[in-house]
Amino acid sequence: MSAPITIVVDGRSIATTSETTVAAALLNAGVAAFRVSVEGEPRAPLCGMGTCHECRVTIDGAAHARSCLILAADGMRVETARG
Amino acid sequence: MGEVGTDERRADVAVVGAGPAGLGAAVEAAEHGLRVVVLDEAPRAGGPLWRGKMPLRASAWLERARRAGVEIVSGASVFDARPGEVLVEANGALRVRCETIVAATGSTERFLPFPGWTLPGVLGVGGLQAMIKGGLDVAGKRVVIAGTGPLMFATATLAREAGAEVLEIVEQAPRSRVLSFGARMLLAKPKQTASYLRALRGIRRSTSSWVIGAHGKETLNRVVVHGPRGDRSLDCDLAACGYGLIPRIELAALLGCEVSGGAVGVNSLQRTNVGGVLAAGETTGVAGVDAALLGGRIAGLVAAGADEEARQLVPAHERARRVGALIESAFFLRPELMELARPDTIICRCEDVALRDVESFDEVRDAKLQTRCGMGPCQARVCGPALETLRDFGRDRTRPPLAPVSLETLASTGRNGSNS
Repeated sequence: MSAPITIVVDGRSIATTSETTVAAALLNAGVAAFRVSVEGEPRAPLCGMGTCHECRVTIDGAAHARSCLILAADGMRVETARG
Repeated sequence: MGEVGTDERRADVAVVGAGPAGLGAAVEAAEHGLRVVVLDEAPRAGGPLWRGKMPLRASAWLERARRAGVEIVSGASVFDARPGEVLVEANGALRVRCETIVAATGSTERFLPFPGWTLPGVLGVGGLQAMIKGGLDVAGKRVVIAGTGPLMFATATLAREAGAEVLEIVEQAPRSRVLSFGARMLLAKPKQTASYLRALRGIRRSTSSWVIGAHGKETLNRVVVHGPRGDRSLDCDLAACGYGLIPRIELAALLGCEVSGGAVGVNSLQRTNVGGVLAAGETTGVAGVDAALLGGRIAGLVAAGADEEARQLVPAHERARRVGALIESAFFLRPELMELARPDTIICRCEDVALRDVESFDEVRDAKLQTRCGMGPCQARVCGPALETLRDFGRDRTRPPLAPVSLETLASTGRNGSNS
């Protein structure tokens, strides 16, 4: 059921699979900061289940997507706060 | 009527949550001839514990649901509800009209703030488990697992199987309580407990210990653990820190259900105080998968009018729920954990509100209005439980939307402000 796919993260092509969440794919690709806090601190996933909202990134132009709840899809464009 | 763009469904039962409780409810109701729709936030059904590499039991229940004609809508976030109607954001707006709602929204982790807890690389214990199941590659990563409760064992096992180097399991409870819990679990569930103990062999375990700080430049590179023999530093790549599970009660609260002791109140047939609303699983009290499945099945049978059949499951359900009481009595939190946060430690991660900013308030509502603490996207789901534990703050009222939704969705569902 899991297929190899490619997503684009801040302009960079990343290889991942169709059963991987966007959050996991980003962490696997070495993305440290998903978003930047009010005071400018880097933030990354905490709860892994959609409660904390720390994993939020822009996916295919739609802001504020909780990446831990979304599976990566071929050709998906992801932008982090530092992208 | 402002309903262009809203997908509509009619069902007998709308189940929110596709974990063991939700699936149990859906299967029983559907097998009794009811039309059931299950709404689940996650991309795959099963809930946090049954997702990923599914245990046999989970696949069996999913298969039964499929055969009984249950419709499972994944990636569906419920943002508003009242008896008879559930509003959902699922790649567009969805309205489900139903006779009965079953709230099976599960549990979430309790996070207690400590210096450095906001560093990338610090996750929850359930958080790390969820991320590994979601495809996080931890092969060769040095992992510290800290906090309290049996969830740490499950995460440690999973991490190890995934190739991580689990450096240590750091438990805040004293050894005597952990051993007595282990002994009782060995008696109650010998096979499962024995297999856990085998899987944990070789992993260092400490008790009466907790993480007092996480350090690193932009990401985590070490944690400091305090124990009976003093403080020590552990170089690591990931630190999973979480202090137990708490019920997710937002949906039930929004529906007007009574919440007491942090859990949704239900009678033995899973009925809440609100007509047309049942609740089951962790949302009614954290007690594990077996209890959740049984509670869900009771709710499903009740929704189908099969009260007699439901009653037959009640004794087993009550027995299963004792696990929850066992966990609570073994792993209650020690007072030192309430003092981990320093004045400059972030309490509200969404709005970067530090402890010193909220210390002076008595009421959560004042703290919220004066500092924005709890007004960010997570709607106090992280800082709320922390402040309840740390400072005895109560919870504020739950109002819609339960999660951020687009203006388009709000407009197309024609909601014009909260009710009641």
